[in-house]
Amino acid sequence: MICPFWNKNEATIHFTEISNSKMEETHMCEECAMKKGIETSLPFSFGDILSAITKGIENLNQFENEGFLENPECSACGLTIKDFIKQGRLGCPECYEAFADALKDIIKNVQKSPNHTGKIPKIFPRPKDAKRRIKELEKNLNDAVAEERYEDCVAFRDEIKRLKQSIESTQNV
Amino acid sequence: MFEKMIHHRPPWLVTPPSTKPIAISSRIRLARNMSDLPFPGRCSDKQRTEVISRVIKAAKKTVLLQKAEILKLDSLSQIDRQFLVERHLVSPEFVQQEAPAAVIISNDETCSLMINEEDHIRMQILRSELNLEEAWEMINKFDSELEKSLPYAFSSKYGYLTACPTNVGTGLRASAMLHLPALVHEHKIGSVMSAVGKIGIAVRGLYGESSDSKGNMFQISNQVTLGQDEKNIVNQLHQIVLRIIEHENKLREALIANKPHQIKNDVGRAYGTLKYAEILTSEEATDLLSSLLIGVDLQVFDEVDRTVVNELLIDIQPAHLQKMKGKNLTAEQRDLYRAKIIRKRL
Repeated sequence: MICPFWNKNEATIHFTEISNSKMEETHMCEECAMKKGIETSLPFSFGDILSAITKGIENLNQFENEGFLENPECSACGLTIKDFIKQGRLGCPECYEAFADALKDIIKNVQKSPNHTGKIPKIFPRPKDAKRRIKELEKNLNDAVAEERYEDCVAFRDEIKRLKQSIESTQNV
Repeated sequence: MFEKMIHHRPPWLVTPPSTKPIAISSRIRLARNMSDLPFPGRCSDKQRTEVISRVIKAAKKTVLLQKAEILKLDSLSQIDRQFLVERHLVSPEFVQQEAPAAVIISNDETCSLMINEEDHIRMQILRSELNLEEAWEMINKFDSELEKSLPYAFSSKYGYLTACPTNVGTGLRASAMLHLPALVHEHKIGSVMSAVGKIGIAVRGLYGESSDSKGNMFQISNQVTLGQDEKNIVNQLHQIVLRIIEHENKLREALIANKPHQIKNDVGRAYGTLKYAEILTSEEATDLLSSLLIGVDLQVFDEVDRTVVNELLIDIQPAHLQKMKGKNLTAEQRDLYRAKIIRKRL
């Protein structure tokens, strides 16, 4: 959809306005939204990821310069970073590794923190992977302690604890 | 299956007559994928069929879905598909696709599992009223049963991997359906939306094709799926819903104290129109039924049973009407039939 206000750019900002109990949907491009003073960077909204992706399109050349496109394909499914930016969907689980750099920013924009702290499948991770991750986390924890980043310390410590539990439960199966 | 569904109301819609919940229902959904196959959007038809057979096999080993109904998408007519959407059992995106996909629905409609939506698995539990914690317990148990026979895509850093990074981590979306007529009436819903938006909670209108707010029904859901554990996400949403309910209740009390005649007038007029109209569009009927609900809840109107109104909100949707009639109806025919059904039940 082309922005009805500017008539040039793609309308990437979609919002719902309510007045006199009536709801109205409006669509516009990022430029017009900024001109109209509409907050497009509210944390965690779906608009965020869309705008992060749109910015990605604008910055494609910059991506190329920075070397993101040197290895543009996911070796497992063949998705390119251009496909991802266009569709907003990844192709397969391996894409998370293949596009790690680009994803880091997107995830930072739309999520609370870049580390999973929730449920872990009982059969995961394989003990070998878990031990490797624990080593990595222990290093992170030491750094965080040294830099007095206490919130990070708690997150790292919790994840280490969970991974250790998961190794124990795998061994008990 | 559809025959049975038309004549039975889903249990998540049933509430004891004494309760007058602002929260109509609660839902938790989890997104999961196979580790060894591309996400559905990049799967071949053969791979998608493979996912379907794996998931069906795994689902049959679970307590919740062992005797469930399995519906392949290609066997469903357009009306069947729309019916499942109206029933909140599948998403509109799911039924719009042509590639191999299927849905498994428990007999009581509490649990449903879409295979090959945006992710290989989208499972949900629906409960009546504000029961997010209970829904989480149920779906967590069900998911743990499934994972015994399915190789989930999972990373220790990002958690459960999903096609869209907005779902990665827990893959959990919790939502509550709320009836908020007073907040809408007093033009306060916009400020609620922007306040909760800032802490990662979305408020959307429920009925209708886009996000309009027909019938003053809103869906409140979490947007963050990574960096918080499931219990925290569910608990945070629960607390926010309680706040919104508190706010709605205060405004309702103020409305009845300050504008009793206006409220009674609105409710009475809504009843009059519903009871005697010959033609009713879905939009008009939904709005009027919402007015009746508030009349019942504020005890200014006792001509109707709350359950009847709740049922009508589901039954007057286009595919439900056509299923009840047993044939395709044009929009005009639906408006006539809708009015007839409402007249009869009120």
